[in-house]
Amino acid sequence: MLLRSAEVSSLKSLGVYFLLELKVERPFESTPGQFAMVEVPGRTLMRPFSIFEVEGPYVRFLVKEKGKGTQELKRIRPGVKLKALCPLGKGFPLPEEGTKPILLAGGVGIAGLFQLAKELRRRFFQVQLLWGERGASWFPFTIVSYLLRLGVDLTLCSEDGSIGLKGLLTDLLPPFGEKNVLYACGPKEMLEALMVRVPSGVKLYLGLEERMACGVGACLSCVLQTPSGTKRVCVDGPVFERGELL
Amino acid sequence: MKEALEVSLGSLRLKTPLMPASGTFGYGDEYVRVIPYDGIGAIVTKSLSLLPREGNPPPRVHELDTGLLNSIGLENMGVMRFLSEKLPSLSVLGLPIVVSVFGETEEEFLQVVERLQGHEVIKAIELNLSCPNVKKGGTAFGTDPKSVYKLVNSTRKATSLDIWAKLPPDPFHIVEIAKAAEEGGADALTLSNTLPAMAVDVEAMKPLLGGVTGGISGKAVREIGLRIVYEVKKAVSVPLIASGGISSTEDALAFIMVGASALQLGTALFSNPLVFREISEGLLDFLKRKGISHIGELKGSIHAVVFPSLS
Repeated sequence: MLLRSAEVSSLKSLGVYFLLELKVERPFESTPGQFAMVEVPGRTLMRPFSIFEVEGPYVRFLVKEKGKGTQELKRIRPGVKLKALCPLGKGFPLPEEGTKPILLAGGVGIAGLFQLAKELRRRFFQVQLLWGERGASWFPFTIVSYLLRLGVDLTLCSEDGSIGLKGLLTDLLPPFGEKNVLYACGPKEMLEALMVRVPSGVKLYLGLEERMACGVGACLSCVLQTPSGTKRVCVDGPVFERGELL
Repeated sequence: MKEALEVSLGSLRLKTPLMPASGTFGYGDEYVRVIPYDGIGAIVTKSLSLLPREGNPPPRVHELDTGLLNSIGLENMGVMRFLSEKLPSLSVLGLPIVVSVFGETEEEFLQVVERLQGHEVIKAIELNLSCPNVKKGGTAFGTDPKSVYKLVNSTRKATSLDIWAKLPPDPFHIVEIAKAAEEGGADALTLSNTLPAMAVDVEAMKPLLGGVTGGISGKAVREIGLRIVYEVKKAVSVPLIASGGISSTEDALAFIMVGASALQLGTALFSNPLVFREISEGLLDFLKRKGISHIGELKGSIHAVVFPSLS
């Protein structure tokens, strides 16, 4: 059963982000890019969050405070019992040997790519990761240093130029070719720009965000119209190969 | 003790009076790997039309402090694909299947109904006479007693399956509409669908739903629904299935006490996927605590309190 009872084991504030850790009753394995629906006390809907990291019974979520649900969740204290549905959706396919993965994270999109970076490093891939935020203060230091310790070739991009490269991540792409596989998570505008800019010969996987009610393919809240018909982001995605969407 | 929750609803026998509200539980098999199905008495599918429908533009849901706005727009795979792709996996659940039916015209309703005949597990059809999210059909049918009578009656002639009529939460005309459905030959009434509503994003200066208007569900409509079931119970004798904001044992009991034989849960499932199990256990606890042997004894009990002289 994907329904798991969980207990909040810790919640760490990381500037505009927070790291929520749940201890789940039955540990599970997840593919990078998969997500969970997490109960938020007092709210009508559970919230979909990328699974940031899994370690035994501990599941972590890197969350950006955005609306009522995430504000409510940030106030939660260790010991509170929650229900969660996990793991959900289809994750990222791993690249073939010899290809060079490039990970592109727009803001909280890092949450969807972190597990992938970890898994790729575990398999000795060279991992190039570009992470874009508005400015220096938006980057949670803990996560940045964790990525560096993993041996990821990390480039920070900031819109205001206060750290790393200045500009939008989509304008700062490193040189790439057909030997690369691109993995992107971020705002819709960023993903749309990538679909235009990345030549069709280059593999591009996109992790989508969408509002969801059920998370399991039942309510049809998160559908996308694609050339091959209607897709549900929650079960047909959230990861799509660019060709599925164009 | 488990039999304490068994209820008869027309020709159906349900293990518990709880079932999902149409549209919130997909075609019925989506939750198989997600939650245990114990506590569920029947499956009610998404509304099926004759041909596949695409539904409304996103965003299709907007969360409220007291509930949910949705504008899905009856997206569905059509009745034929449902029968070939979904029905086989529903057959193994051991639960009666109730198929929700939608049509833009009476003819379309009847064409869907005909195709549902003769499948062992399909025990009833629920006529969706009240979806607020489509231009044709939907609420247009459900708010006029004459068209409700006509559609239910034509359906009665077209099928031997039980017919449930799902009506709109029109607090001013519901008794007339309910009587029309009963006279037309409905075996049960589902009260009620979502209430038409909308929300505005003032910063962006646009509606919060892609379909502009939608239907409101959840706690926000609970007391409106209670009073509707209460009024309709006084006016008709067919069983009532309550729907609208039920998320706890107390809510379930309140709807039973005003006259509901069975209950549909929808929005509650989105915050608490274990709601069927929790409420069925809660009902059993309540019966035990009050020394009541069967849930049916509570049905309509409020009426005896309000009008003691009549009972």
